[in-house]
Amino acid sequence: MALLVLVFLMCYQFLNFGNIVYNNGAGRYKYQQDMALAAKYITDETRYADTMAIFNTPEVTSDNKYCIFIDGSGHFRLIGPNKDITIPQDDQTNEKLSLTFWVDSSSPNNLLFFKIIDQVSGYSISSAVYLENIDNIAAPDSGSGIAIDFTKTLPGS
Amino acid sequence: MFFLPEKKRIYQNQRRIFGNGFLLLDISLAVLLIFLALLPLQAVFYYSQLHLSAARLLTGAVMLAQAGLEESLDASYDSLVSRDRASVPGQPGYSRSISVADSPNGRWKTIVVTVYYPGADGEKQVSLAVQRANPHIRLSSTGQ
Repeated sequence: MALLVLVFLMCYQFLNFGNIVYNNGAGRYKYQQDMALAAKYITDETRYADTMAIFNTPEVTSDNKYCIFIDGSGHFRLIGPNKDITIPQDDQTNEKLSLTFWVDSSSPNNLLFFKIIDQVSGYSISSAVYLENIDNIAAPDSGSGIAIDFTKTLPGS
Repeated sequence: MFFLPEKKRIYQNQRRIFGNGFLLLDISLAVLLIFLALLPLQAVFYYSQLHLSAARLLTGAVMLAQAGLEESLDASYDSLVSRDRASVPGQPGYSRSISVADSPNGRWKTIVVTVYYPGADGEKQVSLAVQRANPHIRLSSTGQ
């Protein structure tokens, strides 16, 4: 009987370990996917912006502006005319993202740098976007912020 | 209890085998056998972790390669030159090189950004390429 208990205990430990590994893997896959998707949204939506400003607080000051920021739940948000995107889309997640935008203040240019961090796992991705229609991005003195707002003229509008 | 002689002998043998419990050696052997059976399954977890971390690093590397391409789009056409491999600031473990090649007719440059990153089984790399047209060359109008 004792041997049986020992064997079952070992089997349980093994299955439990497998379950933990699977859940960790699924979690990792999800936040990687979410962060890559957020980066894609930033790149695609800002590419043809006409005006852009970096802020340390999220703000949408007019109806025709877009704003990208992290909301109070740690979710990525893109708000704009007829657009409201949240990543991750489900609430059953422990992802808490943070976002930093910055410009290289040493020379005026059209590059918007950004970094997305999952605060739970510490995983981060960094990238940059070349903005086709802007000569300079308005930024705080520090050159960085946690939100951007921008306008863009869509083709044909 | 009444037993025929043959059955009595079997019963006594059974008692001798099962009635006295198990030896430490029996248990140790059983545990060892179970571990030997489970050992190959550990490889599943190992490879699972390996691929998960590979995907994690690859995503970061692609983003950095993309950033390198965007930077090359921001630079003036004439200033586009190859850059040796150098570490990416703020991204420990990642390094990046940029290769710029002129087209034979001088009409465009091919820019290849390669990001190197540490993998579980050695260094890995990912490359993204883009072509930029020479802004100094104007295509002649058709019909002239």
